[in-house]
Amino acid sequence: MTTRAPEEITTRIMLTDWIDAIEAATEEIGPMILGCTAVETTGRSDMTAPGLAGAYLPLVADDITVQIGIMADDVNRRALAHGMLGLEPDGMSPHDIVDALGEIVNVLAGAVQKRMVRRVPNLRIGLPIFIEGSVHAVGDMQVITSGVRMDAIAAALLVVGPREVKR
Amino acid sequence: MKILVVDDSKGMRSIVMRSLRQAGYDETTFFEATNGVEALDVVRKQSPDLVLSDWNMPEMSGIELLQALRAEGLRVRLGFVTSESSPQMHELAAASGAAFLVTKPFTPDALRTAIEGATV
Repeated sequence: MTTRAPEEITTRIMLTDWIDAIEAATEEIGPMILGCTAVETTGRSDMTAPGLAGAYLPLVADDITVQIGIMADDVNRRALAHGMLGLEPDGMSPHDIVDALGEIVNVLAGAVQKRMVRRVPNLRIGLPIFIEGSVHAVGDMQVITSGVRMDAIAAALLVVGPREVKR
Repeated sequence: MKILVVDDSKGMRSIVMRSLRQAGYDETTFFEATNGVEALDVVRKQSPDLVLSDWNMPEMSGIELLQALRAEGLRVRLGFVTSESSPQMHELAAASGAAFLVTKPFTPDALRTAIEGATV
C-alpha cells in the first residue's frame, strides 16, 4: 500500500460544494426569514437568465473568494421583500427591495459560512451589492446558478468562483 | 429603557425593533443608526441603556464601534445581531467586551434571552 507524504495531501473545494451549501442554507433559512413552508430546488445552470436582478456579496478567505447571490424577476423580488420585511408589494420603494434582497443574501451568507467554515477557516462575509443584469464569469472563474422555489416565490441562487481550489 | 439599533439595513432595523416589541420591550424608546460612526454620536448624546449592532457595516463596523466606545470610556452594554457566526468572531466579540451575540435569523425569544443575561 502506498501512502502519501503529508505535503502531498491536499483537499479540494469545488465550486459545486458552494452551490450545495447555498441550496442547503436556503432550505434552512427560507422558512425562518420568509415564512415559507416549502423550499425546493428546480435545477442548475452555468449561466444567469436574462431579466433578473439581485443581491450579491463576497465570501473571502486567505486563498478563496467566491461571490454568492440571490436574484429574481421584479414580481418575485417584491415577493421576497414582502416575505422579509412585511411590506405590501405595491407600497415598496426600489430602495426597500434593494435593502431586503441585500439582507436576504447577508443571512444566506451566514448560513453558508456555518456550513463551509470547517473546510475554509477564516471565511469572512463581505458587504452586499445589488446588480441588475446578467452575471458572467471571466478568466478561470465559473458561474453556477440553482433555481429555487420557496412556496410561490421563484428565485435563482448563484455562485461565482474558481471551479476548483486545492488547499 | 432606551435601545439603540445599529444596522445599515433599514429593513433589518425594523425587524430588530419589531422583534424587541414582540419580546416584551414595548415600553422602550428606540434610536437608530446606519453605521458605527452615527451610533457613536447617538451614544454620546442619548446615553442608551443598550446597543444592538450589526457586525458588517460601511464606514465603521460593529466591532470597531464597540472598541471606540470602550476607548472613550463609554460602558453602555452592546450586543451583536449578525449573520456571521464563526468561532473567531465570537472570540473577538467576547474579548472586546460584547455582552452577547445573536445570529440572524433570530426569534424574539432568542433576542430576549440574550438581552436578559446570556453572554458571548
